[in-house]
Amino acid sequence: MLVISYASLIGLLRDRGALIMAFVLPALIFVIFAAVFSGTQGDGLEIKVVFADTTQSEQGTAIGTALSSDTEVRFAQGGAPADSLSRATARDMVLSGQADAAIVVVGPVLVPAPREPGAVPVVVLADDAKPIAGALAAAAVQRALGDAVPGSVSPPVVDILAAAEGERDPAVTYYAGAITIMFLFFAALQGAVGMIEDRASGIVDRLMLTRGGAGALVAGKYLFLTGQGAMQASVVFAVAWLGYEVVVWDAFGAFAVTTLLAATSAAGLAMAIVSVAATRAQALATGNAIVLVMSAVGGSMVPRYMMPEWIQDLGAMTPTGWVIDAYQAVLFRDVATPDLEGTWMLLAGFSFVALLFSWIATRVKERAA
Amino acid sequence: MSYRYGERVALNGVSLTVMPGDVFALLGPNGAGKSTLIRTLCGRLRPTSGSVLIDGHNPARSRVARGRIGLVPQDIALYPYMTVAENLSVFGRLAGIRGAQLVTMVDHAITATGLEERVDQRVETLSGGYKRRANIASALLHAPKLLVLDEPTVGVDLDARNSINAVLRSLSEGGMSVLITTHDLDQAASVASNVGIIVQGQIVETGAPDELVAERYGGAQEMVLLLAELADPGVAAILTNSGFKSLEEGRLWRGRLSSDGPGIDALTSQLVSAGARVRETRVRQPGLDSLYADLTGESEVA
Repeated sequence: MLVISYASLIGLLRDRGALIMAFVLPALIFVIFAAVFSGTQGDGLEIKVVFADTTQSEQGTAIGTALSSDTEVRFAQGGAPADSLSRATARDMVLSGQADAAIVVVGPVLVPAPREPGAVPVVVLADDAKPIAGALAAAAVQRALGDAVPGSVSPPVVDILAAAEGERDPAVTYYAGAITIMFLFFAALQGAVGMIEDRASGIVDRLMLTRGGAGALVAGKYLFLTGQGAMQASVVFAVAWLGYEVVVWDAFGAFAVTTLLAATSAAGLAMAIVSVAATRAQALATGNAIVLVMSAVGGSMVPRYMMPEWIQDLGAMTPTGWVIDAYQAVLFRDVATPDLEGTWMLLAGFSFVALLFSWIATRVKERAA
Repeated sequence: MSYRYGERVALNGVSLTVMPGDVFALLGPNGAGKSTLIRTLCGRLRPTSGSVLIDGHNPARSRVARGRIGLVPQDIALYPYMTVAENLSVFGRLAGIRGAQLVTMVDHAITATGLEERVDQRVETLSGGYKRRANIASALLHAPKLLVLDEPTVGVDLDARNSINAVLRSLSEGGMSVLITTHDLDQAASVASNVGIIVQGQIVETGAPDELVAERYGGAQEMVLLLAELADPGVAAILTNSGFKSLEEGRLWRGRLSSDGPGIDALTSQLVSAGARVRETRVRQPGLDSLYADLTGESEVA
């Protein structure tokens, strides 16, 4: 089994194209994406907000009602005006990623002019990772005030505050995870197609006579691809840490588990694709298409909150989406390990099913060929 | 032993024995069932009826039996980016050999296949003949009792073929059973102690090549005629009536001259008067290729 990993390692080290694809390109693309997307502005987005009225006033209720009919916002589950949340709960919902922004009514809207500096009646608590969401929520508040409390719109009435504290760059943290998982999938696919050549040349025929048979073949390759993936992720995060101060040490255990599961998922998917493909070209074409779509939908290229709702729902069902969410939770949102277990279980389950599928498909193929 | 792919019968009542020290050459056209036979021998396919025993064990069920087979696939089943020594070491370990024994067996395989000068060369840089030798060497590491070679001389030059033949001879002299499928009738005639001719899933003839030829043809001679152009119907009729068969689209004809029939001269003058231009006539002792052509209807192994 280990010897297959060794043979695959030599193959990687002696193939310059694969090496560049595996280790240089991901870091490069990460830097490019981080630069390009850190200043993105969005139009026509529907954002997910949570509403809290700390004044429990008529005006507050009217603002909530007006927001309900605004087509550019929708309420996160449990964050609708009727649920009367506290400011702290609303903030937690933003920090945990359940909502893109919180709209909190903190004081009376109509006061004798001039308003005291800093005493705005409504604050928007924005997720640092979603800078556009804050601006869009503030715009929605302005519209709602216009509807609900005519005559109130004498600035300043709304303030945008960061929900989280600290100086981490949200875009960079996001793309470290997003780019890593996309390239893990691509590199795993590239590594796994070697199995098709092994099949064509008769190496697999030879292996089927040995003790391990199909099991050793699949397990050895899986182990190698997982190791390769973990190394790749480490390279990207090392660049993120050194160049952009992305903190991986604070929750290193959770980071390591996420990285390992990201690597096993990539290895599993690549092996599953290759185990059913008839030729190298077929495996690459199919695999690239699957990985590209999954990366786009899952949020490797553009954060999911900036996508239409149905794509967001689709993205939440992809391993890409799970890995990105897990990295965000670990590196940016400081989510505790127990809250991550669900995502980890999804990734572990996906890896296991994919591995099992590859093993069965390889056995069936080798018996029937 | 028989094997069916669904409705299609791939092997139909095949029976053969390869004894220690035998080199058994399996000859047959494409689709005759050679590959299926190899797969059943290696335990990859379970016979629909009958059984395969390798040294007393069934390879489809027993790892021990599979471990006694050395398989040399038709293509170069080695990691091209690794050296000969690295490949041998990898395949040796996969075969379950470790430590000092691995070193010994690698050395032995290198010596047996004459690869001493090429051990540190990457397989992708070897010549075709050396690649073939390395391909064989990788199947010898666990000292198999039966070596199965699928078309070991495809695409190799004469020198390489001769050296592969020498390797096979020396392995069989050491007591190993060798089974080869080959396109190469000269190779079969030169190394095989026994041949089996397989047609449509059935072994139609089996035995020592010289004995099979002697049995079928006795002392008869064989004549090969090459015409300058395709035989017209009149010429073709004369040849067919004299027991000749057409090869290569009607220009090349082959038949036996019986002692009581018309001689070469009589036949040639008959053909000339029918308008044929005879470019070449050859008279020779029938060989394995004649037997093969008679049994399969093909002039060469496909």
